[in-house]
Amino acid sequence: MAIQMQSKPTVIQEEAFRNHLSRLQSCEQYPAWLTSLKQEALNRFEALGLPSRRQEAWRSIDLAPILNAQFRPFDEKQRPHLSQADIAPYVCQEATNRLVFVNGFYDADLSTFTSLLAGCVVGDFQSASRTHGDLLQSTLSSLVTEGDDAFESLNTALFGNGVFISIPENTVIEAPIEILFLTAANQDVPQFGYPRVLVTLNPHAKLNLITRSVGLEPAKSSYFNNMVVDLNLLEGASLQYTYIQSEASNAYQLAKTNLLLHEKSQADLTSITLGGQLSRHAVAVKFLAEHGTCQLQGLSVLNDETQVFDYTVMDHLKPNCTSQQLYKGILAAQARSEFDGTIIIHQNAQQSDASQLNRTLMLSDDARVLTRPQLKIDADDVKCSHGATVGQLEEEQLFYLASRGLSAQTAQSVLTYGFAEEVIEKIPSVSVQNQLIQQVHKALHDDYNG
Amino acid sequence: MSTLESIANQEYKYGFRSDIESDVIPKGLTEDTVRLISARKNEPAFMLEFRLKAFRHWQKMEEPHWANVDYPAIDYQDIIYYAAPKPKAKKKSLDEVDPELLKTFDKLGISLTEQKRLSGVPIAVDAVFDSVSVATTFKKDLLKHGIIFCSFSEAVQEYPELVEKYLGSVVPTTDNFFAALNSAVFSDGSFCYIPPDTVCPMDLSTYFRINTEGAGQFERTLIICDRNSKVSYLEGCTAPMFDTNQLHAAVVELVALENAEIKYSTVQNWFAGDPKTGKGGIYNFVTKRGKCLGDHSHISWTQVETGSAITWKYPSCILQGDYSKGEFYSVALTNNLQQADTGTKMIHIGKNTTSTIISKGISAGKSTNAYRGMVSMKKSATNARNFTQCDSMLIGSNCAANTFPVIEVQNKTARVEHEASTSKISEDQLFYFRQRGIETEEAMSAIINGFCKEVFRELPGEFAVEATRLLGLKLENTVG
Amino acid sequence: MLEIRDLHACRDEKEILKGINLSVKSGEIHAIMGPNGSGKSTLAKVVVGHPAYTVTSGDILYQGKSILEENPEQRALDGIFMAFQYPVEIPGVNNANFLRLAYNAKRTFQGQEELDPLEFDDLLQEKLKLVEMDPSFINRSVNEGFSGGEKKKNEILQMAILEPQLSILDETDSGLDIDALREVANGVNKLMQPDRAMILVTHYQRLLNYVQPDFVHVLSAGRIVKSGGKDLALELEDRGYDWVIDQQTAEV
Repeated sequence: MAIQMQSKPTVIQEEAFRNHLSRLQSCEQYPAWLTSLKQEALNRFEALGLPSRRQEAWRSIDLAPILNAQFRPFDEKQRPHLSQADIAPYVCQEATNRLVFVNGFYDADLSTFTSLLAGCVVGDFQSASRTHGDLLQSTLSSLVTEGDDAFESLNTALFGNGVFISIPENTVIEAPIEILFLTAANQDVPQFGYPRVLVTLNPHAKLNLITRSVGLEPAKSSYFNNMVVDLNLLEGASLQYTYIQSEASNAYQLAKTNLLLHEKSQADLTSITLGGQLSRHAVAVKFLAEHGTCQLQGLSVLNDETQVFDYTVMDHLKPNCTSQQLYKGILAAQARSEFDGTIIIHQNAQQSDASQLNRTLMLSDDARVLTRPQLKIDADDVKCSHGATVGQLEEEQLFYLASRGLSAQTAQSVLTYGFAEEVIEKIPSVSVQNQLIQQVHKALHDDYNG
Repeated sequence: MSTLESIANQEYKYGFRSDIESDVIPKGLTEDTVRLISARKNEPAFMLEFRLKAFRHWQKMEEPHWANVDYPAIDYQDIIYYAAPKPKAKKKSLDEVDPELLKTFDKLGISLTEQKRLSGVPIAVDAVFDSVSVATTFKKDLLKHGIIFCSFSEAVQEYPELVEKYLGSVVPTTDNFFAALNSAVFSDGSFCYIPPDTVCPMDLSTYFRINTEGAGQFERTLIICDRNSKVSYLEGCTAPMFDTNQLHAAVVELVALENAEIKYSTVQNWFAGDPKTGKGGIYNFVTKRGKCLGDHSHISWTQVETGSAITWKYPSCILQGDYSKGEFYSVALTNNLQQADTGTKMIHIGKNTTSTIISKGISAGKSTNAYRGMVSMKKSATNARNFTQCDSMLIGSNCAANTFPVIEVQNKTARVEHEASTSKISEDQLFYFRQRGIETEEAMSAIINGFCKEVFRELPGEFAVEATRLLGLKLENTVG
Repeated sequence: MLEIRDLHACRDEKEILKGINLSVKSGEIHAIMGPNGSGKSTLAKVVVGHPAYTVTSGDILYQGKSILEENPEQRALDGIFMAFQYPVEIPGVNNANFLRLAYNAKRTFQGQEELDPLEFDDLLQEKLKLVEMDPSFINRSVNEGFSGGEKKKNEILQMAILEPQLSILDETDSGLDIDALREVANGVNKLMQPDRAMILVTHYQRLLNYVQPDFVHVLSAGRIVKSGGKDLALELEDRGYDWVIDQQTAEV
């Protein structure tokens, strides 16, 4: 019984892709330690090979469009000059610190820094390497591990600039820190970028972080972002992290978020996917010590032929940790979504409490959803559950609204937006919530008013 | 010290071997073996064609390894593909069945004489011993209702047109590695046809017994329930204890025509191997699938899997007819070093089709137990519904429970609900029972039966009692 | 009936009971009171043989015989019953079946025939009336989804069915509203007979308004620091526990 999605066979020009990569290497000048780190990552990438459908984590994703596209790196000279007004729709108004990247290049003029507490490191890699070179080096070296994700290794091998954040012990950053990765595909050739974010919260530090990748329309060509975010929470640290993907409709995005949780640390992650042609966001959470907690919620609102793959691994390595997941999807037109979420409870991870729920709303008969909620449990004294539902809006709810005088269409849209807002409401920024609600309304506009 | 630890062995009471002279062909598998089996059974040309097609395809296939089970490579040339008790003379009635065979089945609690059961309700039995069907009871009574119930070999001779029409129509020869192997070499099995507008007056059953060491068992069951008819089918299995592993690669095909209902229940208790070393035991690699061909048809699978070293089995339903209904109720218990990877596939094609999946996995000892399932709502499956519930219970901290469902939906009006949970028997629960004067073993049994009750209530009366008893036996001494 | 002699017990190597002496005779109701963490519930659990606790010294005699070597089910069959403070939920196990299992275990132990489900149902209906319990309870899973009051009533129902010689009620009044408390207390009173005995473990005095104890003992830090008649309970209600404990410390 081969459980696999059928899809068209594609010729993956793997060799061409690799040749292409090897030509891209070594154009940049890095310090020796970084050059060797990058070389190691490239070796790792070579050893892993491109993900194939034989690998569980990639089994139903068709990478051919990415591999065949012959992407070129963004050219700094052709970077468009954007104003604050241009980026205003994507700005978290509560954020007092913001780092803005355009086509992968750090834009100091658009970025904002105010009132950072003593000892905090918040900056792009270039400036951080000047002020906190040793810390950046040790963080990068410790976080870049021998993972099994080829695209993660590829990011390490090829990233140019990125963001480095380190919050000292017992320091609480109240206002959100926002990182904007804007892409303006203003060239006729496909281009790619490798955003990287490194975050360390030292013991009992607290941070509210938002990363947003935004594609400016219209995009003249397709582009590919391969993004990696490493989050390392030391003892008692607490993080709220919001990942927002609203790339252009012809963009590809493969993103990976690694979250390491040490003793009594807490993380609250929200992953929002609204754009792109094909995107994947993998979230790998590891409980490295006891009493960690992680809440993870996701929302994708998809239209046209958008394809989204959400892949989560909640790895309970130690006892007494709690994790909760809620992933929601709204699918219109020919959109396709896949959720593949695994909870792993290791043998000694007694008293783990892990739950997961995946809910998908189908608005179209041409949409397609695949969901794989998985439990791998090796300890007996645990609480684990998962659930998945796929379907339309609840008839009872529709009837209730109808009985209050709402038209069928209004009732539908009210409930659909409500379905999305349950996740959006978790984002710790009212301005971002409002922007996203508007975006969701826009995305589904045709389905209700067209 | 936890009372939930300490795991001991249980006895396998069906582990004896009968001393019966057998007609055994040499080990190994070539095209000649396939031809030899077909010739021994004096089969018509279409059967040989079917077998050869399957064999040629099988040769090009690779053994699947995606299941969550682990076993040494199987040497397919080291298996006996045909073993049959030597007939003393051509048998004409039950009286002529080798008395040693009757004794064997008696010892297994299966009566091959047409006596009524204690409950007063008769049950028809097709008894399969190694590669062949040795006796089928109540055949004549059933035929009076137009019901054909006989060995597969007999069906090939007597009802070739039915066999040719339906064989491989649910599980094609190319379906999977083990189904292809079975299609090439299957030696016997049960055949059943219920004519239109007929409710089968008694439960039908097949009892499988592997006796010869080194023999694989590749039986084939084909049940066709014509329109407006109904049948309940039971299957039981045991094997002697041998140190070597034995392969059981059966195929069961069910076809339900318009408004027909088939209920298929299995209590599987193959030898599980040595509790300590894991040596021996049956590899139970079985393909079971039903096709709800007609509108309003209904297929229900109920299984209680307690035996085998490895179970690899996904009784499935193809819901083709509009308003057809598929059900899967399963209890899979693994203890010691057993491995089970079992579940179901519900393929919704017709409109307004519904399916229900209730799976209860119990892991004890060092065993691993996985639920693997798929619910697929095809584009045509307007208003289709599925509800799935997968619960796992872990006893002790050296076992594993995994859940691997896949849900695929291509129709917006379809609705799928899946839920899964994990629980354990807590020390507090056991103490509560004990404070009321109830012993730990009895408490365990009450809790396990409570855990499995949604499945047990689907089993026909005597099977439910048997299943309850079996679970108790299998878990004996898992707490102490 | 029950004789506890210099009982010391620990859990996870921490000593909780530090020399308890208590004598309970037929026809007596004893109340064990004390602040949180004083060892009240531990005492109850040690008497019924909870495996998490280890008796390090001293003895428990029940009807003249030491029961320390007996496992929990033997003690239950001997006639010792505990109404749990937090009755555990047992999903899937039907309450009526559970009660019958327990009842028949006792019948078998006493050399009597087991009751079949129909016979047992007659008994059950009668006992339901006795404890004023809604008959719908018995067809649900044991304690599953029961409210706090329902769980406590279910404990009393079990007590009514098993008719124990010695009943230990562990904080049976906690979490009950006034109506439920009265109903539970009525049940308890109906079950009290001259040949039986009861130990009420409680933090508050309010249950004792309904069930009149013959003796009240105050437990503190694993010892009985004061014993008296039912007036002691009222005094405790007025003045709290501190004065007893202070008095005790002063005496030491």
